Amino acid sequence: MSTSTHSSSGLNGISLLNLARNLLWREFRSGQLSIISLALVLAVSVTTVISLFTNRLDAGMLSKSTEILGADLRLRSSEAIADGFYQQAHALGLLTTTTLDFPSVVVAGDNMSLAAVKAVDEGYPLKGVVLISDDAFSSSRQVFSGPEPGEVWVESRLLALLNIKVGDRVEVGRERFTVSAVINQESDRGGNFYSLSPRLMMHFADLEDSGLVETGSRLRYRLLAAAPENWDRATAQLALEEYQALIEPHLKSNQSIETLADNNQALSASLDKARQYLSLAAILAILLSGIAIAMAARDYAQHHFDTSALLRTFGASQNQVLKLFSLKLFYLALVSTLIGLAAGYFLHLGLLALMQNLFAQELPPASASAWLIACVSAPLTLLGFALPHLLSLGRVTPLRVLRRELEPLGWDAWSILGLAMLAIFALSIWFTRNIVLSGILVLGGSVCLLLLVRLLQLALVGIHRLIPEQFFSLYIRFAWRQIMQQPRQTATQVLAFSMILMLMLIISIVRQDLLADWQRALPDDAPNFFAMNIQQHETEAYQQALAHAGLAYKPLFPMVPGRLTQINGNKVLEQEDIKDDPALQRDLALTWSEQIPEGNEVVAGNWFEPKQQGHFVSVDDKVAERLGIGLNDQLTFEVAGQSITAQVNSLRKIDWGTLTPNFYMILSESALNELPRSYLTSLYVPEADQSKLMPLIRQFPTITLLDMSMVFGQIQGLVNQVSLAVEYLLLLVLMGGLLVLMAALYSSLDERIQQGAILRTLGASRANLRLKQWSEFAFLGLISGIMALLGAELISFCLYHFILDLDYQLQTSLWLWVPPASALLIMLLGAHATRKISQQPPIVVLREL
Amino acid sequence: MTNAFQETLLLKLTKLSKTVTSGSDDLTILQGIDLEIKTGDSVAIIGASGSGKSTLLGIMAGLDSASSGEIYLLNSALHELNEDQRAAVRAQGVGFVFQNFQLLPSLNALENVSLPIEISGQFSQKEAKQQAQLWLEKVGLGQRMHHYPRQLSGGEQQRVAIARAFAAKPKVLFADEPTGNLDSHTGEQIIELLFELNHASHTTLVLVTHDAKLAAACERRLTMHDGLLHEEKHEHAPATEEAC
Repeated sequence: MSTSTHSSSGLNGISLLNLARNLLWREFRSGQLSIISLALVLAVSVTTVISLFTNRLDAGMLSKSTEILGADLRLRSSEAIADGFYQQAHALGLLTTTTLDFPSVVVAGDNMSLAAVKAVDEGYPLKGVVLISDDAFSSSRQVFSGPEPGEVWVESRLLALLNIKVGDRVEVGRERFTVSAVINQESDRGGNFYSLSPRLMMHFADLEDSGLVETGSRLRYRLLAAAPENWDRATAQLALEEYQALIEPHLKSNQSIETLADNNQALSASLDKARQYLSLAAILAILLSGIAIAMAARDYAQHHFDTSALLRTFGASQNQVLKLFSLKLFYLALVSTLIGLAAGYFLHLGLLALMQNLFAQELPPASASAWLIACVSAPLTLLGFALPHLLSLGRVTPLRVLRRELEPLGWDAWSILGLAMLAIFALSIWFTRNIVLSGILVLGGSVCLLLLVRLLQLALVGIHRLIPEQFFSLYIRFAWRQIMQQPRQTATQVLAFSMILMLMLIISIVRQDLLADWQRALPDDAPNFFAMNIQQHETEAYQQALAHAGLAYKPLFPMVPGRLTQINGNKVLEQEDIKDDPALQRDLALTWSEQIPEGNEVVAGNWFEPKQQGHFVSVDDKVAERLGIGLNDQLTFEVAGQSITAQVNSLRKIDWGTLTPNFYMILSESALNELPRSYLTSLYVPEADQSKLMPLIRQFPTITLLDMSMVFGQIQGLVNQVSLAVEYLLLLVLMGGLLVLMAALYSSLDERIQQGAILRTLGASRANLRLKQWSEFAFLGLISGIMALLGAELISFCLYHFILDLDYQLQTSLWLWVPPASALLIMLLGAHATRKISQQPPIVVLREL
Repeated sequence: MTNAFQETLLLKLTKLSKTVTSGSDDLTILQGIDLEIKTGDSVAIIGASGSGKSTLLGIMAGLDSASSGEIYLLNSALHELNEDQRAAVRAQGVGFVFQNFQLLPSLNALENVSLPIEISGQFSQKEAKQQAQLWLEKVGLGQRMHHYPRQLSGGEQQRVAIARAFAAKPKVLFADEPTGNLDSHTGEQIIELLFELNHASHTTLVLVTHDAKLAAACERRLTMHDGLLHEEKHEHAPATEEAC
């Protein structure tokens, strides 16, 4: 008799695979898998839509921003750029071209004007377009090149200043050129406030003959580099990163790599916030999926304890049972992922189709990483949430076939939640590459809700003691008991409901404030022209002329160009660590303002007091940090050959997202009064009225009129497009949330249905039963709504404070309607989910459980 | 050890005890039970609710372990084996019939019967299916093979369970209150079927029951009382002669 050899039964790998597949198929056919497979498909679809959509939108925004740079990467230099930089770019397969910016006088007959000359080489622009037209203010056409040698393109106000038209000839340097077109937009012009003079664009090859480039001229060379159009994004990104890493060590102090942020702060700030919102939506979608899967996995495991016990009774080993269920889940994840990917793909196409007219060109296709995230997110979350349940399935004792009450020792709730949150945290970091955002949402969110739920448990016990039960009718009492006597079940349900509601609330709150913030920065009648260089004696005449033309303008304010030369008596250009700072390389616009300008906030020191003695200055906090300027430091400015020293009395934080002129330095009135100054104003000119500007330009030739409308147009277009995306994402997340909420509700019903059936057997009427069930759901909904709002307020506050840089205000209006709405919602969903209790005879209900 | 176990013995218990801890109290459910069951025997264990019958059945079938004592089933010393090794013993030759049928709700009758055959690994999926069909026909459910448990009556569900138990060709069949959830008429039919198949397949039958008719149909009747087992010594009842 042998007692030693006990091989496991004959289930080898292949037959286990088949068995798992067959069992899954049979379960699917019998309708048992509907909740978990729906949750999985939903999770994958939502993640896929958001992953693909945000990825493509992000790429679209990136290509917008490369358009604004005219390249993927731009190197700026005040001297000719060495060949080595070009060779390294070519070796990596990148395309290059060169531009050169400098100021020069342009002459036509008796008229002359200063122009911002830009010489562009073959290949310009590498990204983006140039819009030109055949005469001033007529409709534009797109071109993807600069002017031919011998020709120049000019901005319309140069035509006005020189009193010429297209086809005339102008002198630039030693050469004469034909004006062959009006330049209306050059996507890489940038929003720099200081490109005051009108543009003249010429061919690079004409530079030498014209004798324009001499040492000592204010030259700004740019090397533009871009990946060829046919490269995919990942390859392009890699090559560009490599290039940047290669050239960075060789940059001289007068050379730097330019980014969008240097070039257009307003646009860059809007883009950043939009990206963060997309990331936020993505994480919320992953979290929602996670909750759906968690509920489904728990439900699945509980429904399969019997199967597991029976399989063990038939002689399957623990290992085999574990393998069998793992395989089943694997197949399930595989099939759901495939279906979800397809559904998500079509949904994202739908979204893009809705937004199509907002994009000039087709968006770049989604990158491989977006697909990868879509593919792995569901299986990974499934693993995170289902693993603990899976392990307990393996541990079911076969004795359960005789004693059904035996349940395997499960993991405690903390370990399950910990493991799952870790999976989601990892996923969201991978997705967004933003640890702070992921941390606040995933870890902060779960810790905060767990604490709230604990608090809730204590509160419930308190209420239970305080309110005498007799006060209520039997069935409400019964509902109340149900909630009280299973604090764990109540807590789990409230946790799930409130988490889902909280995510929906957060995304709505953030959307609202983000849109409001953009709208505030970009009102429809935002000034789109700046008039500068208005001399003191011209101010009244100019204002009258504007009023006469029917143009709305803002109050004039003084502006003095001045250079910061000394900090506390030390010459800034002799200090190694700061001498290359861009703020020291050029004249800064100095102004005076009685009030703190809009979008500015004093973060240290005090704003000027009226009739204060002495000279004071308020400094932008970022510049102050870069240059090592603190409160009470003495700053010396060089203004038109005159020196003036002022003491720093405040530091300001500037919101660069607004499109009003912002000033690094604001001086006290007393300081500015001593200086020769000109005035600046901004005006809103509707597109149809732009011809009214021509006589103004002729009447006041020395006043510089700067057309910002194309820069604003770029930003406004982008913001509109992103706002719409934000709305759709919101809708998508809300729909996902609602579905998950239903899944959560359905997966916690068995016991309620059984209890309902028993109550009916005992003689409870349907109306009584409904009263009991509905009040129970309404109560759960109410406390979930309150928890969700508390959590949403807390998390939104952190988001605003740490990520979005917005001011947070308590959502008082939400408190009025969210808790009752949540009660109503859960009650209606619950009533729908439990309707079979009152529709079918109790015996049928009981038999089906 | 082998000398203590005769070739014709299917099951042997020596001084088998089971104690469970409930709160701070130790509760003794089985106290030193000795029992031998020969191949081909039919044994009924009867007793009041809570007397430990089902616990004993669970331990004999290797579903649970004893606190002390020895237990040999199908030439294996179950008390020396871990759960997985006991599972392997069950896979080799143990069948079960339960009071609450224990059919998997997501599988139809045919699939429920073929599942343990597939798990035993002795047959291909196709053969398992054929076997299952054969057994379902034997229990009279040839027409209802593709019905799901919820579409079958209690008696029909128990027939499926019996087909499932015999289809795996067990050497011993453990039954826990097989007629407990059935009305008396259906119960009688099930008893008849059980003994008929048992007889035809030369299976050893060990069952726990409240049902006097079912107990009377067995060759041996053991009564559980206060964790102890007493055997009724008497001549075979006429019914037994017929059935066994």
